Amino acid sequence: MALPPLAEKLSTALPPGAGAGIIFWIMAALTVIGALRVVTAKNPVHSALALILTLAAVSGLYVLLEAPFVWAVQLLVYTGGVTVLYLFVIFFSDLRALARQRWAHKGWLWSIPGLAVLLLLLVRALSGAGALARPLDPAHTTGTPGEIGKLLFGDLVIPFELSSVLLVVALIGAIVLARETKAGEEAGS
Amino acid sequence: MNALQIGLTHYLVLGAILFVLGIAGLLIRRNYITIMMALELIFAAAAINFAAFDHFVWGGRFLGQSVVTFIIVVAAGEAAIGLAILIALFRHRHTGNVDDARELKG
Repeated sequence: MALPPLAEKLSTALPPGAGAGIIFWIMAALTVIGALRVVTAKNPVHSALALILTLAAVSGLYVLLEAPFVWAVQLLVYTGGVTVLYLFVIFFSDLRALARQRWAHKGWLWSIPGLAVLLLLLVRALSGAGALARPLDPAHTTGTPGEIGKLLFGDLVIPFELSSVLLVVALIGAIVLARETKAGEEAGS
Repeated sequence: MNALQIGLTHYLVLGAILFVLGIAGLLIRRNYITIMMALELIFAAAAINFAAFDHFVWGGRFLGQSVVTFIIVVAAGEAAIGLAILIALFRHRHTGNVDDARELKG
């Protein structure tokens, strides 16, 4: 395949696998920026939009991890479905009341050092995890829908069926909780 | 080690950062819907860890990727229930602040 001159120069200048590395750093940066924005934005709509950015960037990481099925599910169900649910609920409720109080209390800054220590401990604990990694089997395949489906309807069929029960229960529970109660009827009865 | 050679540790540290940011959201925000979004960040952190272990350690058995699928299912159910609770809270109390929902507090 004939590459344009610039791309050819780049592909010889970079070590093999560097393209995946560059994509990883871009996706990781987008993930962290989006997550910071989710936590700090005053307006819940901004938080929801930042959540879309974060989840889309995480789906990019799934491509790097050779998980195309999870990538598609993440984009369709999570980024496309769940965040739209969040946005709908924000739009249906009074935004000003939701945005009235931003931080928990006056002392919220004190949680920052604790969180920094937590992050340091986690990173310290994870520094040895690289030794767990094994070289990839050359015959390995990517996680296509067919491969995942064989697993879901084979070894994992019981958790798979249970998850459908979970979804039905969640659906019925959500309807019951959010149902408009008639005037005079006891709430929650 | 070349900064562009991405290994298991990179993904795990990214997951740790996302997890800590999610915990930060739970601790410092009192807005119900922002707290739920912080929970989604924690789910995403766990899912990244499973996908990374699947790729780097279990080597294409897809068990980790299936677990990520289950995590997405559970997160969808959690979002439905949590947002229904928010609608009920908002209808009865006209607030989205979790500190105002203290009826069951002794």
